[in-house]
Amino acid sequence: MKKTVTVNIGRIVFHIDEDAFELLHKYLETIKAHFHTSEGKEEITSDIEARIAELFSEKLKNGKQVISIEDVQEAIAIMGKPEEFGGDETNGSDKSKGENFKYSDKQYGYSYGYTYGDKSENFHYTGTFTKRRVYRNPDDKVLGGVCSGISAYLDIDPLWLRLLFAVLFFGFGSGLLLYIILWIILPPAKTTAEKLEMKGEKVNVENIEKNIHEEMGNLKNKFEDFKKEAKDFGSKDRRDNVRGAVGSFVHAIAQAILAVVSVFVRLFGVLFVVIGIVIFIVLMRLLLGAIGWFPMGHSNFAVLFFDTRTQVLWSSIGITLLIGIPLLMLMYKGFRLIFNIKTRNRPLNVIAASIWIVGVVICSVLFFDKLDNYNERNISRIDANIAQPARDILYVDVDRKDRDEWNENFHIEVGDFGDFSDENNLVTFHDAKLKIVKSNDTIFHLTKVQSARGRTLKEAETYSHSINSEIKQKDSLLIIPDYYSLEEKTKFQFQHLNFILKVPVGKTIFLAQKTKHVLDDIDNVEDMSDHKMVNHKWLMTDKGLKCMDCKEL
Amino acid sequence: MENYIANVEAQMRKGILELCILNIIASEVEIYPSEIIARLKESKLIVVEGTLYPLLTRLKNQGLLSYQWVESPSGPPRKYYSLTEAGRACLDELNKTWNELIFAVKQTIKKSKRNEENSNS
Repeated sequence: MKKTVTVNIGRIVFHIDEDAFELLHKYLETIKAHFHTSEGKEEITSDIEARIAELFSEKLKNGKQVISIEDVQEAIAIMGKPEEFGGDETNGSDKSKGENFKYSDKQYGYSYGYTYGDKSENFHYTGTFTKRRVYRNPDDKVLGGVCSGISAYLDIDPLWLRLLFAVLFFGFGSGLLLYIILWIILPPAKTTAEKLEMKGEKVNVENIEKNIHEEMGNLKNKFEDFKKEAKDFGSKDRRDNVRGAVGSFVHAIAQAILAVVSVFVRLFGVLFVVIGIVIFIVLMRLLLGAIGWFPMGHSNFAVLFFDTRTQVLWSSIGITLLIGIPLLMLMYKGFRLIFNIKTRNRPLNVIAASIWIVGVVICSVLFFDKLDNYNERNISRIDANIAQPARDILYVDVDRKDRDEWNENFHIEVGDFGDFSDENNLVTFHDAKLKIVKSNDTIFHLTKVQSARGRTLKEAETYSHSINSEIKQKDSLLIIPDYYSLEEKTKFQFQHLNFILKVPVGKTIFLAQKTKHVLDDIDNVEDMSDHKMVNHKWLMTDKGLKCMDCKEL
Repeated sequence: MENYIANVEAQMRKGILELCILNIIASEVEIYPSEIIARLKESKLIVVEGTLYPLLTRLKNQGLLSYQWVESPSGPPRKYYSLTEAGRACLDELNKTWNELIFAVKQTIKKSKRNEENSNS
């Protein structure tokens, strides 16, 4: 039994015995040392690395999986020791002899030499250990090995992930959906190499940080080199070197930026997936109502718009596709960013786009079909018979239907607009407004202004009459509701209700505190704004409402 | 003495190594290092592969060679080298010089042989 390590040589991953790795590492370091002073040292070493990778690849063709020390020795023999590169002279034994080989050909403007770098200097071995990759783990699986594969990548116990997915499964099946997406995009770890890769270097915050530090360290070295080169700047040869140094300096900056960017890219990936899950849960919460899993759902709303059960079903399908497909693609994209998957999946994109277009078509057909239902608008003015107050003053209050009482029932509040209650499938709006004007005769009048839309004027009229509101009166106290509901099984046709209170000249009204919620830009001689008008008595004069007890006046 | 001879021979080989590499590359449209090495080994001009890469890099940096990456069925992508215009001009020049050298060297050999015969007789 031997310990192996995973290395990346010439951008190919190899598993290599530890002793073989030591040897190879030492060899590459001496190569680096050898070319330390040469122009294009990085290119030369990477060429040599690439060739070694090629030699190793040939070794691994016959089902062999691990590079042994013999393979490394063989590769070194083929490539040769640095001492052999320049011919027969031995390393550094005679520095002046080395100089002798340095000859330049002025005619072609190039020079080359076989001087050796000083081995005592520090060299940075940049051959990187392999990065982890995500696979599905076929050896440790419950379903598809997704959880254990990812937990190997994140270096955590798969149990936690499985628990998370199980919990998310009850989040309207989003766990199942996520699992299926991951099952599709993650490849299984089939070969030993892939299995080792799956458990390679940890991808966690420390390592990402470490990577950035390494890049920064590199940058610093490059900068030092650059400074040194700049100092020697002068001769033509040197100028070429400086150009090389600037190039590698820029390269190092670019790499550091890339490392930072990759962290952000992953964060974006996580963000995409989280957004995807949240919207998915909301969407499911709304749509599953159609199947009756949840008391409130799309179908409850949909019956307000659609005539038949079939239309409701189609609308569910349409909305699911319209929102769901981009959502799935968002999560898919997110996972690709997180796990750095580069392969393109054209068919998937095409299929997703086609299905989405189907959703768009379904929704447009339903939308334009329904649009006709709102062609005409009718406004009906209905006189609510109210008793005249015994004295000349009418107290006006508002019934806001105590919200605490409401919250005991399941209901969805749509802002200030309205309420939807599962109780009797009643839709209640609470945006009724009250206007106060001068009466033409000598008595109080209360008019309900009910409006609605319909396919025809007649239909609109019918709908405008389908509004329920309850006006209460106790002697001189008039209580107006700020809410109104649609009759049972009535579709939503933009029904709306306003009240107009007509006050005869010479009579007084008192506006209670709660009326401030319904007052709609009431004209008055004091030019007071609505919310200030409450808790005061107002006398109707020929010119308009006049405040009777406003102290500031 | 033997060591000295080996040294001079190595230097001679090295002097013409670039000429040979350029000629090998010129003989193909595109060629990758392993093929160049195989040819050089046939002619016993090169012992270890490591010698080649710095030379190729240097020639490339001089603008005599250009390369492009080509995916390899096995192993990492390969650099396929080809001669640039400047490389071709340089090679013509070098080949001319080489022919002159051969002539000059042969002249010296002839002379030395003649002298030998003269002194023997």
